[in-house]
Amino acid sequence: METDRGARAVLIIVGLSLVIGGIVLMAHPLYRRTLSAWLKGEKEASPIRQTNARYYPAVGAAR
Amino acid sequence: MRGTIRLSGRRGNMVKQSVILCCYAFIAGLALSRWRPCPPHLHDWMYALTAAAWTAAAWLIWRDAWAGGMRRGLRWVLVLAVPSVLLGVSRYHAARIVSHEHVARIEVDGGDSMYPVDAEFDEPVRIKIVVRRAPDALATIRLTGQLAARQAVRDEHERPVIGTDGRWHFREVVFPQASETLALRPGAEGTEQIIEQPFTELETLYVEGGDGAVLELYRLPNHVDSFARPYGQSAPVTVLGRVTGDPHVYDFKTVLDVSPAFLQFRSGGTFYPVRGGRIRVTIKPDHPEYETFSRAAAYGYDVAIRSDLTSSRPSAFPGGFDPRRFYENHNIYGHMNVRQFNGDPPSLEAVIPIDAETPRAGNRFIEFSLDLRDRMLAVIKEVVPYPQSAFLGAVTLGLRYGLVNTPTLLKPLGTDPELAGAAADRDDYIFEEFKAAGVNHVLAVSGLHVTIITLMFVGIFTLLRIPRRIYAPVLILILVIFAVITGARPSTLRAVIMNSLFMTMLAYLDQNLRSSILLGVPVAAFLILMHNPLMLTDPSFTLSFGAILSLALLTGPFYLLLKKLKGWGFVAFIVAYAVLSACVLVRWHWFSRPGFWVVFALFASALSYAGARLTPKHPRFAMRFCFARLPLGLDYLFAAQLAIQVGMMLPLSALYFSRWPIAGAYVNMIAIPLVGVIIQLGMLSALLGMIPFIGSLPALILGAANWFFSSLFIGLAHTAAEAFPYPFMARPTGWMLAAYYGGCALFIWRGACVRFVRTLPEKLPRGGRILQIAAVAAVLLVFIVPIAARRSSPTGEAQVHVLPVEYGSACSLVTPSGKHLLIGGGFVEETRGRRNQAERVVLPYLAYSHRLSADLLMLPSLKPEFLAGATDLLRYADVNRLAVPASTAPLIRDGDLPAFRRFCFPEQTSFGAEATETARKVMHYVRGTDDDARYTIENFMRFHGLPPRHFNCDMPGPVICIGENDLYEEEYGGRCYRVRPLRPDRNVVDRCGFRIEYGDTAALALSGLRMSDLTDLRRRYDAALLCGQAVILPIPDGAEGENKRDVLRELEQHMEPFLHAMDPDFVVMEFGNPRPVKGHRYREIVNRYELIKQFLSRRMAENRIFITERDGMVSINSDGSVLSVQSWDNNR
Repeated sequence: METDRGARAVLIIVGLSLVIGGIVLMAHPLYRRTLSAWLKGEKEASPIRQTNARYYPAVGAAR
Repeated sequence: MRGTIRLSGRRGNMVKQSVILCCYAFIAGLALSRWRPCPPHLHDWMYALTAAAWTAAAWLIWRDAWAGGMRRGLRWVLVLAVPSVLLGVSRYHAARIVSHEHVARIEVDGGDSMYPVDAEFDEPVRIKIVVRRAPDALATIRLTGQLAARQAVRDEHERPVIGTDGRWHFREVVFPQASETLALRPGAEGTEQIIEQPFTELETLYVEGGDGAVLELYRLPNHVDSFARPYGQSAPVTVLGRVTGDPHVYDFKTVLDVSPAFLQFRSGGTFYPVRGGRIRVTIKPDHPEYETFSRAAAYGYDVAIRSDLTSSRPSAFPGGFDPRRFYENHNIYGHMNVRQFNGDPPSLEAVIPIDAETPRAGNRFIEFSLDLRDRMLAVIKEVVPYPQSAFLGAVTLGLRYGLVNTPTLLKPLGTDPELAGAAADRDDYIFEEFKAAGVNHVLAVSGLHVTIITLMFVGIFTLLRIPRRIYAPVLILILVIFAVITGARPSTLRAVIMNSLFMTMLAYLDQNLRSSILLGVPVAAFLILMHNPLMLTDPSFTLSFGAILSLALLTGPFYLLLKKLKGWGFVAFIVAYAVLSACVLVRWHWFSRPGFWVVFALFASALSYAGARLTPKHPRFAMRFCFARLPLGLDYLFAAQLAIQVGMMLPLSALYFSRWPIAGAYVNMIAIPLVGVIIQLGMLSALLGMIPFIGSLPALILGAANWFFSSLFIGLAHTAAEAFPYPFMARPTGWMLAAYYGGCALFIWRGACVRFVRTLPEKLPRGGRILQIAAVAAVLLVFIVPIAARRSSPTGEAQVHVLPVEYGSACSLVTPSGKHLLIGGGFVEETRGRRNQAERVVLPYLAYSHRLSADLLMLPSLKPEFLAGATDLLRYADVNRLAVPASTAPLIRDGDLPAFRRFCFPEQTSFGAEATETARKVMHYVRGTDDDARYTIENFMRFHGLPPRHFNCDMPGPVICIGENDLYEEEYGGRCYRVRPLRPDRNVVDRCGFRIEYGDTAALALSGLRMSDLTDLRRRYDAALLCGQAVILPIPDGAEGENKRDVLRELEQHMEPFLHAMDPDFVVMEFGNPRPVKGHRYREIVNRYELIKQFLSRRMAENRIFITERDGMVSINSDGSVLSVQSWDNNR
């Protein structure tokens, strides 16, 4: 019973997050431009990747 | 259930309880050794006793098993507990002690000059000579023997050669070896001398001169500890070793854990094989090999390093963080800061084995786990922007080092541009805000994270309809990988062991959660401590186990208590809680005053009484509005939070950090559920993102949602850090903690305790009633005595503790009647390392010595090295009065920066960047900025009801201007204690010194003055007033561009006549790294300091000169007739 509740919780979290994520993707300019870069096949131009350039630079964003 | 092994039967329970007993007894043994270490000469006996005890226990258990099994009772406890305690004691000493093997004992008797030693070693070793009895006259000694020296084989690029099997290649050269000649002086009993020349064979000891000496020869262990030089001494060594940990990558450096295999102690000398200890190697981004080592792939690389090898610095003052102990607890005994200078051979390089293309890899499983982590991080960097990605990397993958210098999302608003230089960089790092908000535990991967991940995967496996018995081992493997990628810290290991046990017991043994916690906690603790017993008092261990034990033992009793809150009683509770919270926000200092608690107790009792009277009149309201019916599981969350705060945060946070993040008690109610969502989404999006083609878009959507939740979390922490205080609190002593946890135990088992006390008269008819009263009295005494014993009482001794605040000044003064005064507050670094000396040194010391309130804080100067930290003292210590230089008055009154700049630097017509910056900083500390929550002098005045605009120098009040009058005076035992200001001239209003006199003794604290002021002091005051047994000299500072001749002239003109006139017995100098204060001028200041040191050494005996940089905290003590000075370093 407890594990069923856990499974339901995971489903709820993922479902809600997909909705919130969708809204952010539409509303946040950084995400909009990232999605657009992805759709054009230019992942290197992704603004999100650029903000992370100095964070763990040894770990490449594209592997 | 078919096929399960049941541990719930009598025998099963017996086994479980025996395991629990053994584990706790082992921990008790460790604690015993930590508290009272066993003398080294008894260690071998201890090991033998442990082996004998276990043999006897095994025999008794085997015999009882044949006789039908052991029963619980005293015999059971003794048979299992005694060997376990001994095992704990032995294990602790085996881990702690690096033993020196005895080689020979030489008794020097008349006539002979040659003494055979005859000892052979299988590797080069160094010899230590201990003088048990000194010779009757000066003697010289010399050792001879042989050395089979190992020289590294090098390739054509001069790199050391290593095979694919990981064996370094050496060639051996055997030659006769003789030590340098050592002198043995009469009266040198107990001294030790180390012979630096290595030997593999000892033949003869030559002695010339004195007679009657007894010498013991010991072989120094080839442990890193014996090779590391004290901090500050430089002589490069060469290390051949291997990177045995995941590199810690910060944005400004990378730290490697290296296990050395061989070490060349002297250039061109032999290589010693290293037997124990690890080295922490730091490289900066400007190093040519930085790229190679700042990645997880560097794990497992063989390396050759050439740099200084130094040991960690010990704590410089009581109550301070002890880096040496901390690193030793992690088996790190040396540090190397690797730099590369032009033209020098490589200082750090990865060595590729012969016949191989790439460096060797580490453990395959760890390599796989770290590679998986990097792939997950790469996905996070694709789908979440910085700085939320850094936060997510820390909470999901344990990459907290990347978050260290990450700025917060929310900068302070409306900063006055004129003052922005000093304010803009303060307290705006995510890491700092998390600490102040009490939520930084989410950055240290712990039980919370492991449990969230366990629950997430259990949910996923259940959704996929996979049976528990099949997914349990898979889940355990996932948890082990998670532990590896997050650094396998004790808190993670504890949680992984416990969750694995829980899953195993749930899947195969049909046991419940409570049962697995009771068994899991001691077993996890035993496994971690068996591996490294020094972790026993490490915060990462104790905080983790404290949290789980608090949750397991205290949540239930708190919940049962809170469940009784109904109707108006619940309303009364909410009102009392809200009032208490409001008091925290307004003035948390009240919490340390008993009067506040009396008033609050009366208020809460009145509320409770009203609630109890009203509730029966409104039964329907009581039914609907009660604690147990709080929605969304808030009731359990509140009880659990209360348990964590009471059982772990309050006592252990005070013990380790001398601070309690009050905000945590509130913020965690939201932060913990929120981080549960963030971790699950982070994990899911990182894993989905690794699926080619179809995984990217879902990962981006989940990443976008996580950006939202992460921003929420960071914003929450920021708001809490701004709103709530992060106070310092007195550090509890061992007895206080014992009493506190005794109280917690009474609360948890209060029912059993009450029953026991009630039934005492029945059990013991004779004197039972007396025993009943005695038991209650004993319990009360246990609580009262430790607290009462710590209360400060007059000692009749005046003390001045000069604190090691690096470049700056801060002194804590204790008067004979026990009052507490402060001088200066040290420097606060606004950029680079952001060292806040008040928070790092002064306040922790005050918390340790239980002196967090002060009657008077005196500022000898408005220079930032005195003033900056003082604002933190005003904020965190309960200061009654403040004495400031008179030059502060116009600044407080008018607040005009250009006017103040002219006031500070009257001789200057144009202002350079430094003058402007100094004036700006002073302005900031005195007046603050409109939006800044820092406790400035102005705020202090406002709090005491003094309008800053009407500030008058001559006005009595909480802020007084330093003039000619005594600042403090008291009589104790017929002797007068007085603090008198010393000003070089009537017109000098921006700096002063102090004369602290008690009875026939006096000390001068002149840190705030310039060296030239010493001559003015001599002209202005009577010689008698300047005489004192101890003097704290002005901090080394001089004009820009000064040279050695200028300094020497100043010393001759001002210092020499002053010291000649004063003739002090002791001289104290405050010094430390001047770079944060003086910037590019730091080299000049260091040169000046060196010249002053040389000057003093020529003038006085070395044991009468105390320097805070070298000796740590310096204490000047006087009983009114004799004054003595001690350093903390010597005290130890």
